[in-house]
This record gives sequence, C-alpha cells and structure tokens, in this order.
Amino acid sequence: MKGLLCKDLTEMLSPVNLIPAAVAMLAGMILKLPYLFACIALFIAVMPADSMRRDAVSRWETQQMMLPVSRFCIVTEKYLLTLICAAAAVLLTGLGMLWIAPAYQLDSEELLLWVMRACLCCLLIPALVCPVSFRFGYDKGRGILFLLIVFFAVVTASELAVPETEFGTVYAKLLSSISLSSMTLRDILRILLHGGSYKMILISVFCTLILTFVSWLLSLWGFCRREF
Amino acid sequence: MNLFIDNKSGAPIYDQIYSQIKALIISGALSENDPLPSIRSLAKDLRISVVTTKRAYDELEREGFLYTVPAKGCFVAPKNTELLREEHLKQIENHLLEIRQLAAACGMSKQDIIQMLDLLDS
Amino acid sequence: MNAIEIRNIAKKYKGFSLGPVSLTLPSGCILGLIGENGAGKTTTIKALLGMNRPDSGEISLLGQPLSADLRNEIGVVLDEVGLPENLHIRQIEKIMKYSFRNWQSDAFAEYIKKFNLPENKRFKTFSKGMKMKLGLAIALSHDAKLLVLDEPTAGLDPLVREELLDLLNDFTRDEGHAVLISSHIVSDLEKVCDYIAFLHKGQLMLCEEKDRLLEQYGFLQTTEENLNALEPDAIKGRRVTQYGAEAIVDRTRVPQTFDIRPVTIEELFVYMAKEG
Repeated sequence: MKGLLCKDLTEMLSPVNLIPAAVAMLAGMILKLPYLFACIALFIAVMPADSMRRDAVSRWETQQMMLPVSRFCIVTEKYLLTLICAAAAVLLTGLGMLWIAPAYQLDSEELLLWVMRACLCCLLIPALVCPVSFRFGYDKGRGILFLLIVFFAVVTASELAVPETEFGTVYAKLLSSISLSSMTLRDILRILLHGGSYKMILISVFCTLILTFVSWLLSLWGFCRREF
Repeated sequence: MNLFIDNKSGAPIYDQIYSQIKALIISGALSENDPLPSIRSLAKDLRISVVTTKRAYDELEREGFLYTVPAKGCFVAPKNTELLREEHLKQIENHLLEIRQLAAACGMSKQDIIQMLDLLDS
Repeated sequence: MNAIEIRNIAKKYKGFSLGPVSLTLPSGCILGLIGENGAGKTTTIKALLGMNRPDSGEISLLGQPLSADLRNEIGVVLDEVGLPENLHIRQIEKIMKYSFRNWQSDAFAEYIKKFNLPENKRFKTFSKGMKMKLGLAIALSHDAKLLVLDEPTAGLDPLVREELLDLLNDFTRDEGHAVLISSHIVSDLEKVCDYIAFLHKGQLMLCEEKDRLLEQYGFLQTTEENLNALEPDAIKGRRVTQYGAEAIVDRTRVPQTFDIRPVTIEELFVYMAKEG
C-alpha cells in the first residue's frame, strides 16, 4: 500500500495542482473571499476520483495488478487517500477561515460550519463514485460523478430560488423522502448552504463517515469481482 | 573446444552436439577427465534448448563417453579401448565400402586393391 | 519444481471460449505461447496472474497457488505498460521500491543505463520500445524467478527484439528461473524457446519440446495423388493447388523415399491452424 500511496500523492502534489491551490489560498486570504476556500475544498474533493480517472487512462489499473498488493489494499488505499484529502481540505479551509474570521465577524459555530462543509464534500463525492468505478471501471464512475454534480447544482439552485412557494413545498417533501439516516437531504443542504446547530453538523458528519464506511465495503466487494 | 550447430541443416540438434563432442573425445582433442561445459552454460552460449543439450549429454553418458560428478559437473570418461576399437572398426568398414565403390567405378578388382596396399607399405 | 502448472482452465466470454487448457513449464526453461490474434493467449496469461477468474481449473505458480505475495517473485510485462504518465523514472522507481520486497536498485540502475532510458523525462514522452524496456527493467529488478511476457516484441525493431531475446537467454542461465512468453511473431520464439505451445481459437493444439517438433515434422512437396496415398495420420496440414500439393508431415510415418525438408515452427503453426 505504501507504493500506491506514494504514487497517488506524488501525482496529486504536482505543480499543476499545487500552484492553483496556493494562488486561490493566497487570494482568499488577502482578498478575504470565503468562497475561494469552498472552491479549494471542492477541488480537493474531486482528487480521489480524478486519481481513478488517471489510473484508468494510463492503464495503471492493469499494471497495479502485477504488483504484490492485494485487491483489498488497492481499494483501501483509495479510501485512505480520501481521508487524507478530507483532512487537507479541513486544514486549508480552517486556516483560511480563521484568517479572515475577524473581517466577517464569524463566530465559532459558523467557522465550524465552513470547515465541516469542506469535510462532507471530500467524503461524499468519493464515497459515491468509488464503488461504481471499482466494480465497473472509471467510465461508469465518471457518469455518477457527473450526475452528482448536476443533481446538487440543480437542487441547490431550486432551494435557493423557490423556498416558499407551493412548488417549493412539494419539492421539499420529495426531497425529504430521500433521507440519509435521521437527516433529510433538505436539512443537509440547508446546513451546507445556510447553517445550523452544532448537533446537526456533527450528525451530518457522522452520517457521511458511515456512508464512507459502507462505500468502502461495497468497493471491496465490487473490486473482488472485477475482471481485467 | 569448437562446436558448430547448424539450425537449418535439418539434422537433429541433439545429434549434432552428440556427434561433435564424441568426435572431439575420440580424436583426443578432449583428454581423459577434462571438464566439459555444464549443460546449461553450453545451451545458453550456443543459443539452443537446454532440454536438447541434456539429451545429447545423457546419450554420451549412456555410451560411456562422459561421467557426471554430483555438484561438480561432467567430465570426459577414460578412454574405453573396447568402445574405441569398435568405433575405429566401424570407420574402417565405411572407408572400405567407399574404396570398393571407387574401385568398381574404374574397373579395379580386389587383387588390384591389395597390390596397391602392398605398394604403399614398402 | 514446475514454474507453472495449469490444469484444465476454461473461461467463457460472450462470443469466445477458452479451454480446457493444460500447460506445464519446468523450471529453468522458456515456453513460447503461439497463437493468432484472439486465440486466447492474453486470456490465459491473465488467468495465470489472477486478473480474471477462470470458470474451472487449477493454477499453481512456483509450486504455490496464486497470491498477492507471490507476485514478488513474478516479473510481468504485458503488451501495454501502464505506468503513471506524468512521472519520471526516479519517481516510478520509488513506487516500485515501496511495493516490492526485494527491490534491487543497483540492478535497476544498470538496466536503465543499458537500455539508454532518459531519467528526467516523463513517461508519456517515451516511445513504445522505451516503455517496454522500462517495463522489462522493472520486471527484472525485483529478484523474480518467473518472467511472464505477453507480446513484448510487437511493434519493436529487429535490433531491440534481438536484445530482448538475449536478455531472456541470460535470465534462464539460472536453473531456478523460467520464462513464459507469448507472441504472434513466431520467428522470435523459435530462436529462444525450449517448449512451444500452440493456441488456436481458444484450444490448445499442442505443447511440446521445440526441438522434438522440428525433428518429428517436415515439409513435403509432391503430387496430390502421392499425398492422398499416405496415412491420414501422417499429415498435419496441407495445401493443394493446381500445380501440386504441399503438406506438413510426420517424418516417422512417411516412407524414406520422399524428400522431406526441415520445417519452421511458423509453417507448422500456420498449416496446423488451417487444418484445425
């Protein structure tokens, strides 16, 4: 697993990724723009999926089957990478927001909210894309990633646009029926966009960690059935 | 030691090795107890199959031309005079057949050949 | 000990079925797997390496069933070398050093020098020949006992192919080493293999010592009537034209009066495949 991690981290920490991230970080801190930190978080969130894309394109997927690593290690390494990315996003977003907090008079709850948003993003996207990619190949996984982004974009836009009309209420009911454990999707989205209490934040992070764990198990099961 | 293997000649390769090494031993180019190259290094140097080389060596060992010392390698066996005599007799027979053919071609009889032999001796 | 033992593996895909195939490769030898495109060579090799799951059969490598740990002792080069595109050789070496138990940096450095591979250029700038050479350098630098090569010479010039065959020859100077090489460039295999296996349309036509094949079979040109007069078993493949007939025949079953010339493995395969 050490070799695989070495490879993924070397590829991720290339100038092509580091320079834009550093520039955005500096810009956010100097110009006091919190949404830049959210962008960095999103950028980091797609990195594990992007690494799977690179593996598929360069045929590393096949090549790694000749290394003395088990399929369990291959899958687990990607999830380890996801956790590392989440930690990096949390760190960067936290640092950035801490730096600009005085300018916006943010209290600790709001700060935590921004940071957790970054964490959720980084865990959720790989958790949904990886099982499909491992089982069926990155081509199908890419479809899921695209669908996810479109879905969240549409839902977020509609949430912002029509919160109070009748259509909005029906739509809200529809969303409520798609629930992740004790949280409704609408509640999570509301947290992601507007804020909420500590409890909600912690519950949503906890749910996402459970989701990641289930996703890891699914990926293990799927990848063991994959044929090259 | 010179060995020449011809891939294209159609003669089985194991036979080529066998015959050439045998000829070297009989002619004395390889003396008693001289070490022979290991099967594997010979095969790899000549770019031929190890399996085939082993076959040739096994044949030579079976006929008493070489012996194997475990963990040391193969060595030329002491000249077996019986074997050598048999080998020489075979060669003489072949030469005599040739002589008879040639003699018949230019109309010489058996007596003529014996006369020729006496002349050579004196 | 046998380096490879395959017993009755079979695999069915949509539109193609492989097997049952049984092969044995003794230690210290080189086995050449010959077959046309789509014959099942790559499928067999992937089954050997655990990359696909055969529907039936057993595989053992170096005397043990396949496992991730065993790959420390197996060097593999498939026809496409899939290394990270944006990394240089130094970075790739680091990955391999962390992955293989017995990585030999000195041996790797020697191969890189011998193959003239540029150390500071990205992998995606390498030509096909250079990619294959790097794959081979990696396969030879972790103390592997078994080399498995799938079409390594396709797309390479004759000089490079000759270098590769030399390397394989040297690799098997050690009797603990073995090589399985598949190709459809038969003339390459003919130079270096101890055993030859023919795969055609998913079926194993034969697996024999190469030199015995060359001794046993010969090429005959004669009239069609003469050919038909021979034992049917003696003929392994034929071609009849309006000017006569050609056939690959078993020398032991054909009267000595016929003029039989030596045959190449390529001719043997082509005629047998056409007949089968």
